[in-house]
Order: sequence, then C-alpha cells, then structure tokens
Amino acid sequence: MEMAAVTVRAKFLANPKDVGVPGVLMINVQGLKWTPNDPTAGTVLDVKSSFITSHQCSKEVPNKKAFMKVTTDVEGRSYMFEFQNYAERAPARDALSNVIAMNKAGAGGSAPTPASASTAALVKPASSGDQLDPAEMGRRMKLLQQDPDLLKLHQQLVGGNILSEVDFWATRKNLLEDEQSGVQKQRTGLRSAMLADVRPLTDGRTNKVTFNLTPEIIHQIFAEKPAVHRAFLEKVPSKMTESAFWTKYCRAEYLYRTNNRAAALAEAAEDEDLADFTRDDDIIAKSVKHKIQRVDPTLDMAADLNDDYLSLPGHGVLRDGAKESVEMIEGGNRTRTIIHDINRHAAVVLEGTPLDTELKDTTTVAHALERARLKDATNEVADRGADKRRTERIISMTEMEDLQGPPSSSFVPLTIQDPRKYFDSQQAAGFEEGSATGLTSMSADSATLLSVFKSQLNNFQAGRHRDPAIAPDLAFKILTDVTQHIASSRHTTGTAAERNILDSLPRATRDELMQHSNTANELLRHFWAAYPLTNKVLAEKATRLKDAMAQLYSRIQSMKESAPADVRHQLSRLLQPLFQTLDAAFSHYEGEAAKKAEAVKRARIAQRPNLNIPLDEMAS
Amino acid sequence: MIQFANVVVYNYQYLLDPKVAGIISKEMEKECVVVFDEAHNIDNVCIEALSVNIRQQTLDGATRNLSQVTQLIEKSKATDANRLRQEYSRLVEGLAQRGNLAGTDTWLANPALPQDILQEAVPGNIRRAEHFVAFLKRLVQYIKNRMITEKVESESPVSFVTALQNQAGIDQKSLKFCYDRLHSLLLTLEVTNTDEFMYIQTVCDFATLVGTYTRGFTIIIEPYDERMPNIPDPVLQLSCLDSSLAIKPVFEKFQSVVITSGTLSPIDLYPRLLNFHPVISNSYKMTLTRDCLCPMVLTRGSDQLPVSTKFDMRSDPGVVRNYGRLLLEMVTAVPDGIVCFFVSYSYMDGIVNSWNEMGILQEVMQHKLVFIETQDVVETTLALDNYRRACDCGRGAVFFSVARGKVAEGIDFDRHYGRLVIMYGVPFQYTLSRILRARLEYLRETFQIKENDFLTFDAVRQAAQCVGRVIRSKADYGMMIFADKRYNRHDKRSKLPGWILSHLREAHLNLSTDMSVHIAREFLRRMAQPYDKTGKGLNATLLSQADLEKMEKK
Repeated sequence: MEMAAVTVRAKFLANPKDVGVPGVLMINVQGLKWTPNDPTAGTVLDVKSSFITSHQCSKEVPNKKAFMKVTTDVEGRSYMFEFQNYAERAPARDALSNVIAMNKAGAGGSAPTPASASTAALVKPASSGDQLDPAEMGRRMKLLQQDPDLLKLHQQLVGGNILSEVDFWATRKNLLEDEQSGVQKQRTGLRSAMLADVRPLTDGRTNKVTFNLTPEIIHQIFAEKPAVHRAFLEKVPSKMTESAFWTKYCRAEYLYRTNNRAAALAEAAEDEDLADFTRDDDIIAKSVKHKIQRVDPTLDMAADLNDDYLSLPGHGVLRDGAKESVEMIEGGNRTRTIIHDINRHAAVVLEGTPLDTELKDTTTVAHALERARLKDATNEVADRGADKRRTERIISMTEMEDLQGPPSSSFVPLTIQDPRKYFDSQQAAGFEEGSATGLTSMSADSATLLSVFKSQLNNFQAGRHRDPAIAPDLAFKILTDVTQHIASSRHTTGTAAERNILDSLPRATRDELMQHSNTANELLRHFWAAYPLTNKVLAEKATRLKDAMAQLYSRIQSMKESAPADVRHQLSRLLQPLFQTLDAAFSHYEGEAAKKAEAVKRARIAQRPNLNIPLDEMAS
Repeated sequence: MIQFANVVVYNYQYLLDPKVAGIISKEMEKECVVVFDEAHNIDNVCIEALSVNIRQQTLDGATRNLSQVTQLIEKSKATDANRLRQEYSRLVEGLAQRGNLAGTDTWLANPALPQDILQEAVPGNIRRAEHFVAFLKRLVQYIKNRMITEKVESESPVSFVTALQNQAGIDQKSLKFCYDRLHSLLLTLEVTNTDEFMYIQTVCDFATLVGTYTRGFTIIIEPYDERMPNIPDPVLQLSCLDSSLAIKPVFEKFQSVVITSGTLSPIDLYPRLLNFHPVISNSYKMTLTRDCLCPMVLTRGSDQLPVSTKFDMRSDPGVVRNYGRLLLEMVTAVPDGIVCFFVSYSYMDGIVNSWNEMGILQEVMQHKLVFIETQDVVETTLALDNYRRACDCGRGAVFFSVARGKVAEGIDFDRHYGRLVIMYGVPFQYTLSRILRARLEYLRETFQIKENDFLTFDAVRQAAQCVGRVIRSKADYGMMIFADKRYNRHDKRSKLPGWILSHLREAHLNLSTDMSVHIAREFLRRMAQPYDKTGKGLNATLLSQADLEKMEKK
C-alpha cells in the first residue's frame, strides 16, 4: 500500500508536563521515527507501524498547543508529541491514521504484514521522490473541503483502499497547481456589507442594549474611522482597558443612532475620549486633500468649482425654486450624516486591503492596519507613474468608440522563449532540406520552395490515407448511430428533449447517479492508465480496480432496479453508456487475463525444457 | 490671446454676464460664430447673469469696503490730489470718452447699459470721490433698513427707486452710473486686489441694474427661506425675469448664433423664452446601428400601487419602499453601474435615511457599492472617482445623484459606468418660491406662456438631461426608467426629446416593477449579442461621406 512519508518538526514530551525536546518526526508505512535535533538531548524513537494502535489529538483551539498522543500495544506505551501549530500537525495526523487503517486492513485481510512491507518497498522510490510537504497536504485538504464531490470520490477510492493517495492526486495535478498559484495571484477584497454600522440589539424587557463587535467589524471600524483607530492606538491599553474603550465607543454610537445629538455633544463635552468619536475626522479631511489631486480629471468637479463665478456671493439668484439652501455646507462644521458614512464605507471597501494577518484580537488588527496605512503612504509617494496614468485616462475617456474605424486585425504576438535555439534549429532544418534537394536554403527561390512543399504535402496526405485513425466505414456507422439515437430521443420525448433528462429525475436519484458516474470515470481512468501491465504492482492495481468496478456495476444495477417505475426507462438510457464503458473495461481485463494465462501456460510448456526465462516476461 | 485663436471654448458667463463679457469677450469680432452647446438651460443662465442677491454679510462687507475706500481717498488726497481732480474732469466728459474703460464695442462691454448713458456726463452728485462714497453709504444704509423685515416683500424696480428717492434722496440717474463710477474710482485709487471690494461691487451692480431697467426685474426681500422658516437669513434679491435681456447683445453683435443641445425640447419654446426669430430650427433624429436605448415608464411598484414624488405621496412609506424594491431588483439584474436621480437633495437625504432603516440599502450593498452625491463638491468628486473605479474593477456600483445638481449637468455615465438610469419622480421646481412665481407671472404676461406649460417643460428637460447621461455613443447601450406615474401622462411624456420618445414603445409604458425587470433582462440579453457595426446604409455606426450626402438630399 503506497503512502507518502510525512516529515514534520515536533517536540517529544516524555510526560505531559514536560517542555519537550525539539526534533523531527517522520511517519511512513513502516512506522514513525523521531530524531532529536540535538543528538545528545534524547534517544531516537522508532515505532513499527504494526505496533501503533491509536492516536489522539488535542482540540484545535487558538493559542493552545498542538498535541498528538500515539498509543502502542507494546506494554501499553504511549508517546506525546507537540507540534508548532495545527497546520503542521494535520499531515502527521492524517499519515498516522492511514498507517493505523493499513494495519487494520492488514490484520483483517489474508495478507500478513510482510506483504504490505513489500509493497511499501516497491513504492518507496516514488514516494521519497516527491516527499509531501505540509503545504502540499494543506492544499489537498483545502481542495477536498471546497469540492464535496471530490471529497466523496476521495473517501470512496482512497478511503476504500482502491486507489492510493498519490495516484488519486496524480491525475489532479492541475487542480493543485491552480490552487497553489491562486494563493499567490488573487487577493480577496473586502465585503461590501456595512459592518461598521453596528446595530444595537435590545432584549425587549429591560432598557439594556447590546452591541456585538467581532474582530472583522472592528477592522472595518478602524478603517472607516481613522479617529477611532488613532484613539485606540493612543489609549489602549495605557490609559484604559480595551473593553472600556469599546463601551465608550458603543455609547457614542448609540447616542448618535438614536438621533440624540444634544446628548451626544453634552457627553462629549464632559468626556474628552468620547469627543474623539463624535468629532469631525481630521485625518479623513487631510487624506481627502491628497486624494483629490489624483482623481480622474474628466470628473474633477472640484477643479472647476470657481470657474462659474456664480458661486461667489452676490451673483445670481440665491433662492429660487430650482435651488436648495446651502446652509448645509455653509454651516462650517460638517455634521456626520448617513450619506457621509456610506460614501466613506464604499471608498474603504474599494481600497480594500484585507489584512495579511489573521483577524484575531483587536490590538493586532489595530497595529496591522497602521502598518498597512504607512506602507500605502510610502507607496503613494513613490508612485511616479500617476501623471502618466492620468493622461492615459484622459485619452481613453475622450475617445469615442463609434467614431473609430474598424480595428486592425488582432493577432497574438509570437513569444519565443529561447530565440537562438529556435532560429538555429530552423536554419539547420533549412540546410537539411536544402542539401536534400540539392539547393542551399539561402539561394532557394520561392518557386522551388513551393514545389518542395507541394511534394511534401502530397506525401503527407498519402500517408494519412494509408493509415486513418478510424476506419471510415466504422466512423460513418457510429455517426449514424448517434444521430439516430438523438433523433429517436427527440421523437419520444417531443419538445421536452430541449430539457436535460437529468433534470426530470428525482433529486436523490440524480445525485446518486452523478456520484456513480464520477466514481466510474475515475476508476476507468486509472484502470486504463494501468495498462500495459508491465509489473506486478500495476497488475495488482488493475485487479483491485476491476473488483471495485464490479462492485460499482452491481450497485448501479441495483439502483436502476430500485428506481421508481416512471424514471426507470430514462435512467437505463442514461446509464447505457456507463455500462458500455464498464463492460469494455471488463472484457479488456478478461482478454488480457486470458492472454496472460495463455502466456503462462505456454511458459510452463517452455519451462520444461528450459528454465532460463526471465521473470519479467511472465508478468507481461 | 483671443484674437489669435481659431476656437475659443469657455463658460456661458464669459459671454452673457455683462460684468465679465466686457473684459473677456470684447475682442470677439462680428463674424465669429457663437455656439451655445448644451444650451437646454440657457434661459436660466441668462437670468442668473443679470441677477444680484444681497445678504446681511454683503452689506456688512460693503460697509467695511466703504471705510477702506475712504481711507484710500484720504491717503490719495495727501499724496497725489491731482489724480482725483483728473478723474473728476474725465467724468464730466461722459463715460464713453474715458480713456481707462472705453473700447470700440462699448455696448458689448456693458450690455446692461443702454447706449445713451455712455455718452452722458456722470451726474454731479457722484463725481467727487468723497461724495460718491457718502452716496453709497446712504444706499447701503437704506438697504439695511429695508432688510429688517418680518414678512416677505416684493416690489418692482420702479417703486423701489421711487421709495429710494423719497427716503434717502438717491435719484435714479445716479444709481445707473454706480457700477462704472465705482470701477473708475477703484482704478483711480490704483486698487489692485479688487476681490476684497467684492461686497461693494455687488451693491453697485444692484444699484445700476435697478436704476437701468424698469421692466423684466423684480425685487424680493425674504426674511428666511420658505423651506426652512426657522433659520433667519434675510436676503434681498434682484431677480431678472426675462432671459432675453442678457442674450440680446449677443444676438445683436454676432452674425451667427447656434443654440444646440440634446434636450432642447420642445424646441419651439426656446425662441419664445429668449425672444428671437430663428433662421433655422430643426430637430434631428439619431441614427442608431441597433436599438441600444430602452426607456421605460414605471408607474407602479411591485405591489401594483402607484409611485410618485407628488407632494402628498412622497413621504408615504409604501412609495419609499416600492422605490427601494425597484432599485433592489435592478441591482440584481443589471451589471456594472447604475445611476439614480432624485428630485432634490432633501428628498434624497430622506430616502437614504428611510432605506437605511428599512434595510434596503444593506441589501443593495450586497450586490453593488453605493456612492452618493453631496453638496460638497470635493466629496462628490471623490465619490464619483470611486464609483468609476468600482465599475472598472467589476464590483459594480450605484450612484445616487440629484436632478439639477452638478453631476446631472456635467458627468457622463456612459458605457459600463451607467447601464441604467432611474429617475425617481418628476424634478419640478419648488413652486412656492417667490422668484419662480414672479417669473411665471412675467412669462404669462409678456410671452403668453402658461405656468403649467413652463413648469412641466422645465421639469421634463431636467429629467431628460439626467437620463441622457447614460449614453454617449452608438456603440454604447443603456436603459432609462422614469419612475413616476405622472410620466405616463401625455403632457409630460410628449415634452421628452425626440430621440428618447422614438424609442419609448407603447409596451414600455405604465409598467410595474416586475414587468420592468423582465424588460431589463430581455434588453440586456439582446445587447450582449455581437452585432454588425457596419450596418446597412444609414444605420451604420460610422457614416461615410456618401451617406451624409444622401441624408442631405432627403
């Protein structure tokens, strides 16, 4: 049974209260092996896989250590390991559970331990070649979590010992790669929801209101209200506790929310900390000045504000039906309104730099945000391309799409990774061609080249004719079959043919069907990939797969039979191709097996006079 | 510079406002072709150009200015008395002969002044600098007294001047000369920072206009804004009622004047408002490659109850909720940018608050970010910039704006920046405004334009202006929803510009929210298909020379 070896850093604890000795834990099919970093600090631990009976892991609680306890059946001895974090423990835990599962399977099955040891020996070179790092493992786990279908398949095939972990993932390399590159390329933005707009909860009986703040909400509050952020950095924990800070904040929010402006101001007058929350945000005002210089010039209304001098006092009509009072802006201190909040929120979301650290507690959030802000500020200063972008922007905005002529034909520029290699090989080919036809490529004129090309083309076509991929008459037959099939299904189902037949099935049946077909496809892929059976491992694998397929076949059969009468016909039609492919696989297997038996028989006959036939031939 | 330029692009005010036109546009020649583009609001600009408002702080500032001028005069007398004496003798000769102000096109430089005053001598009582300052002090004091009032007063310039004569001994002729007399005085005193003397200039503008015109103006003194009666803010407004006064000099001076806009509708109303006879008046159709416009009139919400911003309905929570549901349905169906226009800031403020409390805004935010225009230009600019970036990056956004606001006038929401415009309500003016009422009365008496016709015309042109933001080229596409039951009425709808009307199909009238969502989905699906840009004949996106000639023949 193949299994990747797992190597992680882990401390060994002689007893649970111990500090632990740092070292490296390696788990593979043979068992687990722990080596201390410092050879003098402790002895090397080596536990055979057959002795391991169970393992226990501590719960995943943030800020708690990651422990794992391994129990053996040798005098009931157990070992405690401490890992750096939960992410590192996960692969070790998985590997160990695999080992235990293998033990059980080995004990239950007819094959004793040596058999599994031999398979392990066979697989070893492969698995040691791509030793699994925790990151790889984490990616796999993540993929499985995201895709329930894949998880089911994984459980069925790998869990059911039909396929090995390595085989299973070998066909899904691209998925893993996507996942990996995805980690680097795309950052997720902030959510659009207004979290900072915390609404108080009332319990309806007493006058108490409750605010719920999570680190995520607090992050948004800090981002949208720099004054609160600044106050937090200044005052917590030196001047007040964190909970006192947030109580004050919620108080201010509550007063604002209940439109109790007067009360809010009165309290702010008494308490200068509270004043920080109600006061106009001077940091925003400062950043506005900065940002306004970088806006899209085509919509910079602030720039031509004084262009129509009607905004100067005294000019024009001050109040008429079309104009609204300007008291709101002339009042001096801008009052905070929901409109400002919404604009501010949307701006923050758009700038959206989610923190790279995990949102755990408010202090880290506050500091991480501060760092991010400083970084942005320095980036802005260094941003010299801004002017160029502005001009580009103007050009793109003033261009009218429909006044442009037809676009020049689009093409993809050819990128050659190693131009020298490419051109050298071209030239060499040209010389060869030239020498073959008795001409140098330099002096070859277009007419001769064309004739050469034509003759090549003729040869090429002739070649194709002689050896077509599919026999034409067979191809035609299949095409006719398919067409007739489609036509007949059209005929029988009428207009409903536009609809997917799958949609007409009951949900449970459909899900089951999909799952079976997924499993069958996976099995078939591996089955066909196993051929030709050049060695024993592959042969075993093929047998295993065949058995699994046979089981699946019977399962599908029973499903078909147990299906309600009204859908049975549809179902059988749907399943037909599946059965056909499975049948093909079986017949192939049997054919191969028969051939092999034949070969063995012949070999036996041949064996009698001569015993020198190599073992390999037997296997094939 | 202007003499050397082939094309000069500037604000209307530089040509229409006599105070500025005299400085900037006097070098323009008769043969110049004047094009007023986006001229749908030209009547309002004309009126603004000849209107003056005086507030408490204007008068306080004017008093300060006068004492500054007095000081300057004293200083000047002590150092260079000769200069003031020279000015005096110039003023005796009359304004036209003054070396410091005159140009060949004096009448353009000062269209507010009839020709004759330019040749007249400046009246004796304001020729001497100190006399003129005393004269202005009396004027400012008189206006101050007039503004201490509890009720709204409205009178014509004639009666105002008469009262001024009786109570302050200021005659009409001297008033007329105020603007130029001040200008001359400031020049003589070598004042360079004229900005500081803005307040007294405003008062002089007022005096000259009051002294010059007997018709087409009204003076309204309001102790407070009717919409906010609890905030005292007295203001004296001299409002021009006749938009033809300001544009008249332009028509007289230049050979060809073109007035054009996408929303000049109904087109026959503009010659009447501006009092001229157009040589050519034509409304052109748009050639489109495909039906890339989809106007709709929505009259009912999802619960089939009518929606409107009519005064008695606008605060009804049912209407507010229906408007909110409309937006909510649309943000789920329409990609990229959506723009919503409201009838006024106060209405938008109310709606935003109610939607916030109802949770509609939060639901909208699950689909698109929300940005809102405010009366603060800087904040609005930033909001617009962010809105565009949200549309660019694919998150999608909604922009709340106000009809007649700065955004509605100047910002395009073309392409993915605006796939849908929702016009909430009919943007009527505040009809109880004194000035509007005075203007309506004047229009009725002078040009025989009915009050309701004018109000509807004004509201519909604003609405058309708002929804017209959504499309800028033939390659673009966009939907427009007029969300008010009143748009279904023929008198409103028929005033929409032709290019919108020709796409407003019968089936897209009188819709409810669910029907409009259905139409929107259908339209978006159709627009998403590839199309042939070359089209057939006149439907081509890019017309050729031959096509144009063919069109001309027709």
